[in-house]
Order: sequence, then structure tokens, then C-alpha cells
Amino acid sequence: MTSTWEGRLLSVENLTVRYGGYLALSEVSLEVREGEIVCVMGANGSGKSTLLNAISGLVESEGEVRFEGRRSLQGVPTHERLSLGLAHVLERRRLFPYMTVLENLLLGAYLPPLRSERARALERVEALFPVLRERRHQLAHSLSGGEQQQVAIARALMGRPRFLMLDEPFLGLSPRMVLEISEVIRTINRDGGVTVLFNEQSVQHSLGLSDRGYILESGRLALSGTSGELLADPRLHRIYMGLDAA
Amino acid sequence: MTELVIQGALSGLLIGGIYGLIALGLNLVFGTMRVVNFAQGTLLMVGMFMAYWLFVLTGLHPYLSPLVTVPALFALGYALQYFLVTPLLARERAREPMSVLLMTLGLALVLENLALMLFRGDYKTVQVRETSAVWILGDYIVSVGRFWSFVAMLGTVTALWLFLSRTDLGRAIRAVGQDRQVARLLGMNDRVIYNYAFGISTAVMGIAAAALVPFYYTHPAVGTSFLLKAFVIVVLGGLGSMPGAALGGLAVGLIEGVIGIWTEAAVAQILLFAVFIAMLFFRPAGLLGLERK
Repeated sequence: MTSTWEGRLLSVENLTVRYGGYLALSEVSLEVREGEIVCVMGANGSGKSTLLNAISGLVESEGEVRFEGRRSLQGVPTHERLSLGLAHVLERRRLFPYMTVLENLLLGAYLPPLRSERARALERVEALFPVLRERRHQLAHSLSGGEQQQVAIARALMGRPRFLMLDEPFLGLSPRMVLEISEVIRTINRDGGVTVLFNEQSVQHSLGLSDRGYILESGRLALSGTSGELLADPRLHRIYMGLDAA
Repeated sequence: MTELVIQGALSGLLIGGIYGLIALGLNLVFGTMRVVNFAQGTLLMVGMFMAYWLFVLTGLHPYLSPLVTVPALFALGYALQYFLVTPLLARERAREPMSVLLMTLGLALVLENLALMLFRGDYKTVQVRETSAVWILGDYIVSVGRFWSFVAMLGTVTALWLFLSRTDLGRAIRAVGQDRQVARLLGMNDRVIYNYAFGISTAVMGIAAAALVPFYYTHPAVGTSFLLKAFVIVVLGGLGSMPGAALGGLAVGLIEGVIGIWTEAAVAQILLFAVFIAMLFFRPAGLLGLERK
């Protein structure tokens, strides 16, 4: 069924989010195909995080979110979405601060169907992030930012998702760590078959990593295309004038 | 003189176990949903009446009453969360929900007056061996009832600690307390987990009740004095901290026991609440108040 559905894993149609009277996201439509890495870019407050939060049901939205060509995700509570294959790493890592690295990882495979495979899943993510094995019994809040991001991604992978959303995965990381995390994203996409949707402020780096990109401006979709098209598009530079200095 | 202090400390420490158990229940609920449960002491009272009537009507020794009261109180706590707390919590957006706190206060008043209506206000006691039995250890006297209440505290703290750190449900209870959104994203149904947390916190009162009934009076208002001490303990040990609750309980028992040697009980209480206020001023997170953002 899913393969005949034109290869689309996620499709978002006219998604609108209001915070009180404020329109945070307005009629945004996008799609992510199986196996892609897709990036959503935009300045602070452009609605990037709101978009991801609406897809995972953390905020209420109008419009459609369809996953795997099946029925709409609207009305499916957040806690039932991981079992459909959808994982989400929130902005600023959000580890359980007073738990050890190991406890954080084990909670990534909390759902009963995942528990029997938990030891194997742990082995896999620790192979991906070798430093986590040394940090197993350390409290999460005592880790460096880069290590925390590794735990956050590893914890999401413990849930064996088909689709992984990352909210600003490079925020506050050293340049070396940015490269390391990017490499891991490529690996889980290429070898693990995980489709990735991430958002980011910095255009250059994001488009280097992703197949396609969407650019949000004040809650609306301003541009979209393959990474090559976007990089060549003069409008990108106009939208981003001064924003991409960092 | 030294003997007197040691004797006071010993008795105080042993009763401190009970205080610790109540603080533990309070902390479990606060740690998961940021609600101070004003009905915690009243739920202890419910457990004590259950143990009392089980003894009077069937002759069941209070120490065996948890076989009945722990499942019954767990069910009661689960239902209270499901029918009263969750609907209120769903409407509150604040991180430390005020309406729920007031609701628990109302619940305490309702249960207390219900007990007053049904069982009258006289002090009820049971007579079992542990009511008056003592062990003589050299120069010191140890009340058997108090000793077992201390053992019950140690056992319960250990069991709860193992549960919270080693089981999936236990870890989920902590996870929901530390970051509810992330817990949801990882597949945890926070509402169901709240039900369990409240249920367990209430069930622990069954153990405290079983330990208390043999040597303490049962009365509709018995929970209030324990609740006040439990507040001192959680502020001392740290809101949301499990070891803090246990150690804080012992500390409060110790203070009471030692100070009680020189002064009357009322003065000891005043000093206790002076410590409470001082803590709020100088170290509001408590001595072990770690699990808090």
C-alpha cells in the first residue's frame, strides 16, 4: 500500500496553527518522500518549530497531516504516534535531566513492542555514538551540549522510527560536533533507512545535508525546491539577507 | 543525661520512619505532577480506619492489613486521580496547578467529616502485643511497635526505589515528572501514568497505617498532624526527592525526640516549624532537592 502511494511518507496540507490570536503557521503544505532528508529553514519565529510540533501533535492545528498514506494524524494523541513510526527530537535536546544516559536511552524503547529488542537497539545506538557507552551511568544534565544531542538522537532511534524529526539539531554545537552530528544523520538515513525532516536557521549547512528544502517566512511557505535549486535561487539570498551571517 | 538524649533520639528516629513514609507519598505525587496533595494525611486516616475495622470485625492483625488496604487504597488513589485530578489538570495550563491543590484540600475536608459522621470523634485504639511490648537493650528501651514501623519504612523506601529505578513503569513515572512533552513523544500516556503515581502514593499510606495502628490512636483528624510534619519534611529533604523524604522524616523524628526531653511537646513542635521557616528562607530547594528544575 505505502509503496504505491507515490513514495510519500508524510504529507502536510494547509496546516495552520494559532496561539491565541497570533497566527504562528498559516496554510503550510509540504511533503516528505520515503528515504529523503528534508530541511525546513527560516529565521527565529518563522514557525519552523511550530510546524514540527504540529506534526507530532504537541500543538493543536487545523489542516491535514497524513502519514504513510494512511488516515490523518489529526486526532491521534502524541503518545500513539511513535508506534506509527514517527519520532521527534525537540529543540535543546530535552533529556530527562536527573536520569542517567542509560535510563534516557532505555526510555526511548519504552513501548512494550520495543522492549524485547531493547538490548539490540542499545547496542546499535552505542555503536553509532561510541561516547555514550562511556557515559552510560552519568546523569544527563552533566553532559556537554554535543553529547546531549547525541543522547537525544540515540534515544529517538531506540524507538526504531521510520521518520525522524529533529528540531534545530545543531543549535549551540561546536563546528566539529556539527559535522559529527551531520554525518550521523547521513548514516541513519542511508544505512538505517530512516527518513529525516529537520529544521535549522543556517541555510548553507542545511542544504549541504538535505535533498530538498522548504523556507518559511512569518509562518508562511516562501520557497521550496531541491537543495541545488534553492542555493541557486536569488530569492533565497534576498529572504536571508543578513540572517545567514552566522 | 547522655542516656536520656540517646533514648530520646532512638524513639524519635523510630517514629520518624512513619513521617518519612507520608512524606514519600507526598513527594511521589508532587514529583510527577507538581501537585501538593493536601489529602495525603487524610488518606492515611482512611487506611488507619480500614486497618482498625479489619481488626475489630475480623480479628486481622494490623500488620496483615496491607494485604487488604494496599490494593484498596491503590484503587482509591487511582480513581481519585482519574475522576477528580485529571479533569482539573486538563483545564490548567500552569506548571504548578492551583485548582488541583485546592481540590485536594476540599477532598481532605470531605473525607475527614465523612469519617467523623460515620465513626464519631472518639479515639480508637487496638490492643495487640506490639501496642505495649518493649525490648530492653542495655540501658535503653525500644518500643516494638515503633521498631516495626521503622522497618516498614526501610522496606517501603527500598521497594519504591527499586520500582522507580528498575522498572519501565517506575522510570516512566519519573520521566513524566521531568519532562511531560518528551515522555509523550516516547509513547508514554501521561494520564495513565499519573493514575499509577497517585495510586501508589495512596497505597503507601496503607503501609504507614498498618505500622501506626497498633500503637497510635485512630481518629478522623489523625492525618492532619502527620501531614503538617510531612510538609516540614519535604521542605527539609527537598520537594520531589525520595531519599530526601526518608532522611527528612528521620531528621524530624530525631528533633522531636531529643527536644522533647527538655521541653513539652508543644515547644518541640514550635521549634520544628521554626526550622521549616528557616529552610524556606535559606535553602528552599531542600537538603537533597535535586529532582527539580
